[in-house]
Amino acid sequence: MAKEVPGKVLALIPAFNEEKSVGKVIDEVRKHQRDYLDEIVVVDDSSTDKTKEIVQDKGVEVVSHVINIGVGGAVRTGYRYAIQEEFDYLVLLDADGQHDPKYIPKLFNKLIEDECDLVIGSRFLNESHKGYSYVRKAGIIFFTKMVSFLGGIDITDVTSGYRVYDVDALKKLDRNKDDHWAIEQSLEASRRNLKIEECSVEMPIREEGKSQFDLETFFWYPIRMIDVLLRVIIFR
Amino acid sequence: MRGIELVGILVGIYLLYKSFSLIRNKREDVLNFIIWIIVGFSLIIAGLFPQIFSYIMNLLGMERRAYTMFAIGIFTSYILLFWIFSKIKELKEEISELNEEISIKNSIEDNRE
Repeated sequence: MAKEVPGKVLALIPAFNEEKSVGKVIDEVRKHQRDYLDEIVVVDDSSTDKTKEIVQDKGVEVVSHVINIGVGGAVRTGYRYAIQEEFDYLVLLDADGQHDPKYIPKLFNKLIEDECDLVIGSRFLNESHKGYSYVRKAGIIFFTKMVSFLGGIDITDVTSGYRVYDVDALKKLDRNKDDHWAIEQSLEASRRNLKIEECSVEMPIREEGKSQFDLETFFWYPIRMIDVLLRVIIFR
Repeated sequence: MRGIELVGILVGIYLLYKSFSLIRNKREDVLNFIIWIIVGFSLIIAGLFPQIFSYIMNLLGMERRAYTMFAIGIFTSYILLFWIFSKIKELKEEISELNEEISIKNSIEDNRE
């Protein structure tokens, strides 16, 4: 049976200390391997737990960072891998299980049918965001409005990391930052006239692993928001 | 000679000594060497001939020599701080790129084996 996506497709899973969830995520992604994916790659951002061993035991390709850089750095390594190994499409999903692989067909169908460069999985096109804290929701809505205004696009969830790309479009984008990379990338993509669409994807609050929204994050959140806001305005 | 002038001279001599030993062992580049030599000599000259600061003090419209010294020191530190921040940022980017390249290279080589 032929694959549903014309071209070579990579599933990229950046991971840092995700031993509790990465195995399950790989098993779920594999269900779509025959129809949609050619290869699964986990970029291990120098985890200190058993993430790497679990991925290797599953027989999945693992690219291990020598030093810990941050999620944006792991994503960059994945992009570089996709370009270097001449993949045509890339699907990016988190290792914490928040991005359900059952949406991979839906995201790819949107990308192919609408001839998009980038499709973002949005939790604001359904009810799944309702369990999020007010601070988190306010942050996401604020950045989404800002990017929509500055980039002249109409999106609902700019911070979502569940994305499907045409690799040719990735080549046109600059190196993203280590933190809050999704916001800048979305804005840059809109400035470069790449076609961006969204798909409704449920993303309930993560159950496994350590959430990136801990007390420290809340403390730094306003400062980081100002930093990202300035970066976006200055480099827009 | 006042205590502060003596401290200035000693710090200047230390900077000259360290810069010379680093460049002799090829552990410092020429530009850095020149910068620290200038700073070291400036401190020694300022310690030996403090009246120079009277001239600069008048030029800057300040009231005391000590304030002039501190003002110049602070402004110079700002420039150095800015340079250090830019350099750290640049190096961080390079490390990050190397990290990406090495990790992909290792992964491809592991697969071949």
